[in-house]
Order: sequence, then C-alpha cells, then structure tokens
Amino acid sequence: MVLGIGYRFIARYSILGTNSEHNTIMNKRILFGLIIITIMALVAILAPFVATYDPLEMDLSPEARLQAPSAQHLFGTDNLGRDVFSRMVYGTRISLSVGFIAVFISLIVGVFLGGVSGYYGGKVDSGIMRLVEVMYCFPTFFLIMMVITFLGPNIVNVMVVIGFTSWAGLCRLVRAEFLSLRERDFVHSAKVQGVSDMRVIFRHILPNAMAPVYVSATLSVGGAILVESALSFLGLGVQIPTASWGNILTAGKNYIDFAWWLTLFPGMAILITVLSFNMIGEGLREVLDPKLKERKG
Amino acid sequence: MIKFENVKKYFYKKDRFLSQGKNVVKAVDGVTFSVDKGTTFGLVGESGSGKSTIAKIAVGILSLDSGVIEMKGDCDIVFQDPYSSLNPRMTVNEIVSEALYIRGRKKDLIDKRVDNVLGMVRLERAAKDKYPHQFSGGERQRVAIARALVTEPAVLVLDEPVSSLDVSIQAGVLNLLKDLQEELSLTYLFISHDLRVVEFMSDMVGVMRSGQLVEVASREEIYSSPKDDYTRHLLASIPKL
Amino acid sequence: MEPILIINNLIVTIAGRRVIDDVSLELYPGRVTAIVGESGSGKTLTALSVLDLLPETAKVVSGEVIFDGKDVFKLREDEKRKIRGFDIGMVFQEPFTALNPVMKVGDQVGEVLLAHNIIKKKELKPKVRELFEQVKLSPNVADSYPHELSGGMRQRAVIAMAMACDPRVLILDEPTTALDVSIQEEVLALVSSIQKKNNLSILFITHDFSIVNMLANEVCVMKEGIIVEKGSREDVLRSPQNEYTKKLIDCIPRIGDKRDRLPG
Repeated sequence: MVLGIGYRFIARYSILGTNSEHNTIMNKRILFGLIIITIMALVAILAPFVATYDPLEMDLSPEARLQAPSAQHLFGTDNLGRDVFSRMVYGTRISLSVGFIAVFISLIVGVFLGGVSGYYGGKVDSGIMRLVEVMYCFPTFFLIMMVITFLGPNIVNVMVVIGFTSWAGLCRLVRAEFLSLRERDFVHSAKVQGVSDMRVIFRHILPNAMAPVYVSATLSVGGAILVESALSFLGLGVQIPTASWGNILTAGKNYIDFAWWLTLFPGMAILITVLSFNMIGEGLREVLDPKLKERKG
Repeated sequence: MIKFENVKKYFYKKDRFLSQGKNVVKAVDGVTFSVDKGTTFGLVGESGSGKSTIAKIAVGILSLDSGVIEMKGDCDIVFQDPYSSLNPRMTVNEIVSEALYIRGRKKDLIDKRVDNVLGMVRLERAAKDKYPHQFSGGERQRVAIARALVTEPAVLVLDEPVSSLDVSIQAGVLNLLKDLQEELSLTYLFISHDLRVVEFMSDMVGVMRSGQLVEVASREEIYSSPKDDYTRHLLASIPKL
Repeated sequence: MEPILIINNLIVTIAGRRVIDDVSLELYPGRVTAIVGESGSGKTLTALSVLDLLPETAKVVSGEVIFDGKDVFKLREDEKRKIRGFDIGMVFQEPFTALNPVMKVGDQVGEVLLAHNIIKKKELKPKVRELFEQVKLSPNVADSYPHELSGGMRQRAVIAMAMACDPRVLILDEPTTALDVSIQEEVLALVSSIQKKNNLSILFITHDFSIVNMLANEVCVMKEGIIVEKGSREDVLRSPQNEYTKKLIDCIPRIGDKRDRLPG
C-alpha cells in the first residue's frame, strides 16, 4: 500500500516519471554532479565520523596555530588552532541544508503563486505578476542583508530569508508552463468531465509542469549556497564559532599571505559544490527540454 | 437532443499598439441547428470556419455571447489529437475512471465500469496499467473515447476525431464510432474538414463558412444536390479516387 | 528512356532498426513517381536520402542513390550542395517553417537565385516576378512577409523557391497535407501544370491515394521501410496485388459511398 502510493507519487511528480520522451535521464554531467553531491551529502550526514577533530576545539599554543596541511591536519589549522578539515566537514552540513531548505521554501511559494497566476489569469495573475516585478526590482542580496540585520543573523533566518526572496523566477516559470498547459486538450477534457479546479491544477497540470521546475530549482540550490557563503563571509550568516564555509573564508582572509589553506579549501568547496549543482541543472535541462534534443527522424 | 439557436461567439483581439484594423473575429455568427436522438450531425468546414469553436461551446469549454443551447442529458467530447488529449502522466485506468472517481463512486463499481467501457472500445484489460505513450495513435483515440463514454453521456461531440490518424487506423475508429452509436443510441455532433468522412458518418450535414452555416440538409441532399455555391465548391475540390 | 534518378537497394538504419529496407526505385524524365505510405513507412526518409539529408542518427548501411549517373553519397559536400536546390528542388509539408519569418518572400526567392550564381543582381527583380507569376501569385506578394500570407500562398511561394533554379527534379513531401481541401486542389493543379510545362520529374510523397490518382505516373507503396508494391498508376490503383495496398485504397470513404462499415 505504502509502496503503491510511493510509486504513484514518483510516477506523477518525479523526473523519472513515465514520459516516453525522457527515455534516459542520465548524461555525463548529471552523473558527475550527482556523484560529487552524494559524497558531500554523506560527509554532511556522517560529519561526526568523518571529522578528525572537534571543530570547535581550540589550541592557542603558538605551534598549533596556522599549521600548514599535514597528515595530522589534512587542511591545516586556523588562527585559533582549530582543525580546518573538521570545520569544513561541519560546514558542509550548513551549506547543503541552507541550499536545500531555502530552495524548498522558494519552490513552494513560487509553484503555488505561479500556478494560481497561470491557471486563473486575469486580475489574480496581474496582481501576482506585479509582486514578482517588485521582487525583481529589489537588489536581492541587499534585501537579504537588510532583513537579516533586522531579524538577527542565524541559520534559520538565513534559510527562510533566502527562500522568501528567491521565488520570483520560479513563479514566472511555473506560470508560463501553466499558461500553455491549461490550453491542452487533456485539461479541457478534465474540465468537461467536471473535475475541480484544485484537482486540475495538482493532478493534471502540475505533474506536467515539473520538468523545467526541477532544472531551475537545481540551479537555485547552487545560488542559495553562494548567498549563504557570502552572508557568512560578511558576518551576517552563520555565527562563529559554528563553522561554515563562508566564515572560514572570513577568518582566512587576514592570513591569506602565508596561510593559503584557510582560503583555498573553503573556496574550492564552494566552487565544486555550486558547479556540481549547475552541472546537474544543465544536464537535466538537456535531457528534459525537447527543444534542445536533436530531432530523431 | 441538441439544439443551437442563433448562437454567437466573437473573439476580441487586444488592440495592438499603434495599429488599427479589425479586432473582432466572428468565430460563430448566428448558428442554428438541431440534432435528433441517436443520429449524427456532421459539421464540415475549412480551417477558421468556426466549427471547432462550436464544439467547445457545446461542451462548455467556451461560453457563448448570445443565443441558446439546449441539450438533453450529459455531453462529453473527443478531441482531434490523442497525443495532447490524454494526460501523459496518468495510466489508462486513471484517465478513464477519473470522472467516476471524483463523483465518489465505489471502487468496485468504478473498476467494473472501466472494464466495461474498455471492452466497448475493443481495448484489452491489460491496457489499464499502461501510460498513453505506450499506445499507437488509434489506440489512444480509443482510450479517449472510453473516457468520454464512462459517465454514460447521451451526446458525444467528436471534434475531428480521426484527422490526425493514418487512413487505415481512421477506418477502424470510424467503424467503432458507428458501432457504439448503434449499441448505445448515442447522439453525435461530428466535426471534420473531410467531406468524405462526414458523408460516411452523418445523417444531417451542416456546411460552415466564416462562422455561419451556409447550408444544412440531409446527407443525400448535400452530396447529391447541394444548393449552396460554397458547398458545391468544396465538393468539387475533393480529389477523386 | 534512361531514369534521371535511381535508388538502388538502399538500406538505412536508425538505432539498429531498418527504417528503409532494400528500397529500389526509378524516376524518369518528365514523369511523376509517387511514394505512398502511412506514418513510419519510411517515405519521407527515402526522399531525404536522395539529397543525402538524412538525420544524423540515420546510417546508410548499403545501396546507392544515382542522380545524373553519379552516386550522391560519394559526392563531395560542395557538389552535393550544388545538386540541392539547383538540380533537385524540395518542398516540405509545412510551408510556414520552410520560410524565414523575418524576410520578405520575394527576397527569399531571390536569395536562392543569388546563392547559386544564376543571375546578376539587376536581373533579380524581373526573374522573381516571373517565378511568382509561374506559381500564380501576384508579384506584389514578393513584398510580403510569410505571416501575411495564407497557407496556400505560402506553399506557392515555397514552390517558387524550389523552382527558382529551374531544377530537373522536384521532390514534394506531403505538400498539401497542412492545407484546406479547396486550396489543396489549387496547389495540386499548379504542380501538375508546372510539371507539364517544364517537363519536370517529380518524386511525390503522400499518404493519400486520391492525390496519386491526380498526379502520378508510377507508384511505390511503402510499409515499414519496405516497398510492398510498385507499378504504374493504373495497375496499382485499379488492380492492386498487395493486401496492404488494397486496404489503403479501400479504407478511404468516398463520395456516394454506400458502405456502412469500412474495411480495416
């Protein structure tokens, strides 16, 4: 029973779906991205076992501080003698969870508003679209900074604020999908048979609108991780002593002349993670977008 | 069974910036006809004649601007393109049973009825768990017909139901529609651009042009002694075999 | 008479499946050969193979296409390009996609002429005018954009383009399928008159036997990549030998048809 429902849910909303047009959802880019992200996710989940030291444990003795990478300290130590590798392992938790949860929030807001807007049209649509334009007009990053300053910097606020400020693009995307899907004959047919609006939206239109949403959402995860890192770098994100890739960078910037490992490793981590998400996103776009596919005779 | 009285439907194009000219399209401009129970009314016309708008008005997808439509009993529709008329993410069982499911029928009754209509359209039971893309065009159109029949409607609107099918498949679907009409004494509003198919299917025929019915008569009259010039022109255009 | 175009034992596969399976046919000067088939029969791919324009996923396993005594597959790219449009013109089903939406149709026809270096720039206008007259379009249409034309006018413009270089062979792939019946008849009549006047050889792809009846001299019936029947129009239409051919001809309703059910 549970399996059955699970299977149907996957068939309905997943990328794997049942659409013959997507007979393969794998390509090299997706595979590469997925492998990296899977490793990252495992590191995040198993952080206590992967980390070689307590990330908060300081050792202020001069010889323990700012040690270069060695067998004992893979990525060296920071100015307070903490193990950078262990701090980064815990930072993975922060980055990934901020990325996923922020995008999840923006997905819910964007899909709901976009769906309503595209399905009902008219005044509802105009209203929501004006709101979207307002969101677009704000320089998002400064808006986030401002709100965080008011609400106080902590990880939950960061997730929520990034989520609530980044739904506009998704909203437009979903609206466009709904606008074209609501004129499809299977939607007309459902309405003729007396299917309710909510059922038409969630059962008939949304499952068929998900492909571009997945692409966009995957790309957004990378974006959200970047924003979190930048906020943490500026001291508006995750607060010290909790480790995040962004605030390890902040600490490192003062010692960049002689302690390169403090900036190189978190920088690389951010780069690789964001790149992986972008590769999955681009790969998905390639697989899911029929326009990019070469026509087969 | 169906009665259209002076039905009108105009579309207003939004004024284009800095452009003048026509912005009213009279898609349906005063159309009157009626269809008797158990018969087929064939509506024939070229693209842009308004025949598909009539189909959409008949089943309520579009509202009408003026005029009266009377219909006795339920009405359902079969569309032209079975690739866009079936939700690609639903199984045949889900597609056909939905109208009953949302009306809260019991599961065993729904199952029975679905088996029943799938039998009527000559589809195997195994089809139930498949998705639309696993079928050929002709089979998909049968699924669409089964979906339309599941609520036991009295009237079916058939909007170019065979136009996107290969000729050999087309014959099978046309035969099936005739069989179903006899078995269930269905009333058809059959819309097509193909005069040959309309003649094969219809008892009465209406010829549409620019939103108006230029001629309504029995099949015999339309095809052997057409009164209207446009009807004659259309008939003369059919390539002979 | 020597055929102008010969396809010899052509086998083409896509993803391992034979989409053209041992197809041989000839096209004679001044004659019309029709390839009839339903979707998936390989009729369009056969037409594309003549110009070596098969999709990249398709693989020519064996066989040859001989135009003018030369195997098209063995020609250099520039020689192929010279044949396409110059010796062999092509008209597709959808006239709208064959035309550039942001270019006047007259300029598009002119472009073909200039591309093949047939005429000098100052002779262009009268030549375009002449081509438009040939397809019974008013010369004023040359100044219109595709979206300003009806489907039938667009298809005429496409035919004018295909005729621009005075080709010896014209390939027409379902040129009237997207058109209304009354327009279809006009376009077919036009094709027929151009064919007679210029003594053109035409390879006509269609699914409709009534069009075959109007235009063709020879007919090939294709099914799943195989030619199931080949012969003169009279033979194939009046006394078809193959069951599939019979079915295709019989399953079309006709005016004055007294049949209550169709075979099929």
